[in-house]
Amino acid sequence: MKLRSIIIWTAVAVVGAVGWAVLALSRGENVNAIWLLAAALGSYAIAYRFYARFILRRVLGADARRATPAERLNNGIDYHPTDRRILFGHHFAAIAGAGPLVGPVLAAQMGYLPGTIWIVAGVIFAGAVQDMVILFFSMRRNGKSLGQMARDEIGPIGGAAALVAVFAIMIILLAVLALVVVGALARSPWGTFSIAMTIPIAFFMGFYLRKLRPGRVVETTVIGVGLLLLAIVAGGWVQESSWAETFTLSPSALSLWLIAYGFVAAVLPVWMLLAPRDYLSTFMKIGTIVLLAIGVAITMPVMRTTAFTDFAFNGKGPVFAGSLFPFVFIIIACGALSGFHSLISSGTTPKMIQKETQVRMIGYGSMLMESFVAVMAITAACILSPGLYFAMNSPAGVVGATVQTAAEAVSNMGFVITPEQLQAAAQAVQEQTLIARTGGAPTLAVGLSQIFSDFIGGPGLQAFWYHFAIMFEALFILTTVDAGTRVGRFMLQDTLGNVWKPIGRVSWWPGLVGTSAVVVAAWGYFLYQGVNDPLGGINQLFPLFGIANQLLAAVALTVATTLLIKSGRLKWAWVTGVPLAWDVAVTLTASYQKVFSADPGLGFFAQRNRFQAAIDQGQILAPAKTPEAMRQIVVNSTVDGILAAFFAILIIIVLLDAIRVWVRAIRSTEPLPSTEEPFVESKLVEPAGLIATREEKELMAASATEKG
Amino acid sequence: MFSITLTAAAREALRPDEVIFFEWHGIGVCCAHDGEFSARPVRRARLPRRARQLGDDPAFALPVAWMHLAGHAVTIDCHTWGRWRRFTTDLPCLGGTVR
Repeated sequence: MKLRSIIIWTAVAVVGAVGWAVLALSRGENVNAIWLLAAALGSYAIAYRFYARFILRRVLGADARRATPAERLNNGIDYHPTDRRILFGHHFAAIAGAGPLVGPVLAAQMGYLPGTIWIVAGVIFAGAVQDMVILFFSMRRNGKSLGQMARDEIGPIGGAAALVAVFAIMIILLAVLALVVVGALARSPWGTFSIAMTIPIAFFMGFYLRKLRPGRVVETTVIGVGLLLLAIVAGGWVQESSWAETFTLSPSALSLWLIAYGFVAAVLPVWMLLAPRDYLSTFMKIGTIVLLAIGVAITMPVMRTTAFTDFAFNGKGPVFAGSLFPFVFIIIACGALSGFHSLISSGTTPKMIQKETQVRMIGYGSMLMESFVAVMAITAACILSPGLYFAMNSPAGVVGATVQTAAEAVSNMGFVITPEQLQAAAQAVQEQTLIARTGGAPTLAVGLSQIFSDFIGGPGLQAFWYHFAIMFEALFILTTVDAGTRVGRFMLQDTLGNVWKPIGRVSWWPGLVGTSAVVVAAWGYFLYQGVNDPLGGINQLFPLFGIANQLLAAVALTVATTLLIKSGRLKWAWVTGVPLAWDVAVTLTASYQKVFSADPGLGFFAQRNRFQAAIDQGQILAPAKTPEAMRQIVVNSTVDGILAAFFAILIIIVLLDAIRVWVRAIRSTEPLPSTEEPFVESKLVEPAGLIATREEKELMAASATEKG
Repeated sequence: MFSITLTAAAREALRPDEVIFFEWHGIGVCCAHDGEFSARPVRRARLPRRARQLGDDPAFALPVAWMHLAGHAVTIDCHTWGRWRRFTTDLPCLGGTVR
């Protein structure tokens, strides 16, 4: 290592260390968010430079001389493997969903430090490792999907578990995300109108792209974004007009509209509605995140929450029940460790990558970016006053419906906010109320609007920025709702097609409509029960989603560990084995507590028993107000409890099945048969990282000269 | 590398100046992503500039769809109702990420 490098990397390490020291040692005072950025960015840089390189070179043994599937499948004339910078953007856009925005906002109830530590440490040692290692192994197998690798390397049980996990996550995820949208749009004519307008805008884009200007994605998207901004402004006009009542919808009505929308979107041709929405939300997503990062760097907001709140230790938080371990690690999945990412790392990206050595930049680097999005989200939540945060994120059953009851309830939690301050906060963003706006989206929108209005437009534009943020989140989430319903439908068609052939045919309308209806009914059930659950819905469902997502991460890390062991890299198996052990511990502990805890606030069955006993005695327990609401809680708790137990059983089965394979591989005197594609020498000369090194530039110049 | 077969119905329905154009529509699912194929007739003159032919058949795709099609044996069929034509393929529903 050269002296200049040593100096630079020492400086980076010092910046990160100072950031962490300030965060860790500040007690009883407000900390500037810039320290959080310093801690995160310094840690990312060190991890990328040293740990990711160690994994790439020593653990995986990435070989720049070996041709990737993109090069091997290249016919030499028509197709070139994708440029690493474009592929980085593609991979990042694919993994950065709504998850890293919602989870950190909810986890902020425990203070800024637990969530931040997990986001940064989790991504460095688990999430980015998972993404990079799975990308590498899939690339060596012609881009096989996670499910295929699980079937090949562990056995049919592992493969089936991966498939079941993906389907289960999809259903819970769709319900949770739709619930977030309901929380954001309920009784908000501005937001509802803006989001409703995205449907005709997407239709217009679909036809424009298909019929008028085929292939002009950027042009179409620019028009779409322009129309989208117009829709946000028009939402403000609608709120002041006689149409306001039409667009003021109750949570139940909104959930029914969403269910109907999900069904139609899943049935229509993909180019008509879904693909244009995907372009729109991708561009909006990247634009907003960049704007937020610039905003935080310029305005340097102060975090008004403390490092830890009491809820981190007593597990009695109103946003979600449970203590710091394991629930911070469950609630923040995307941004730290997300099983869903392994689906991108296997399948699409490995078929496009130019060089094996680029897996660090694309797999590890993209995940660090995703983690940075989560850091931005937790920052936006933590700059709000804790009083406002808890008034917004506690269920109506806890804070009531008026500013007076909310102020009193929040004061009882130990935080200070007056009814006037709550009213002023709602007026600043031109909403009727911010009380009990659970789900995380409104909180993030208020945080974003404060940051944005501090550097663009001042307080006069805060309402615009709030609705911009709501629209951005809802657009993002609705794209997931329609895409997820469609993907769920395909998975169901695939599976049922094995039993009865016609149902597997994509073009057979009865099968298409029937399977779409089943998927919509599945997530629609959880959405509707969540909306009408007196206990808040999102509080119950988000941990379930986290458990399911971490279950898929366990499957991915098990596949990675199995492949390391089977390929003779036993001494490096800890690289994925340690995050796997952590993930299993977290997921099983959370499942155990959710199933067996005697605390009715935490355990689903304890909650069920409490409310059932009250029903038997003819009593009504708060927050329920009617016997129907009591019965609703009993049903919801039972279903949620069964699901939590099911996920735990699934994870144990996968792990036991994998251990059997590990033991056989370790005991075997002969190397197990390799499932890798054979070595083919690469003819491509491309850099491994974003910026080519001097040696790489020389090699590229020599290669260009050779080709003439 | 490509095995594209047009059924007799598809060949008959395809006009002389038309080719089959494959598209890949990415669909995002929270923090995962997959994609879906579509195939439709397009006049040769209206093909996007970057579209490339798949083997020797009158079938074209952009590079992003090319990559997902590589190695597949695809049969293209067509159902007609009066003047309305519907080209279908036997490609899997999804590109293969979420499977």
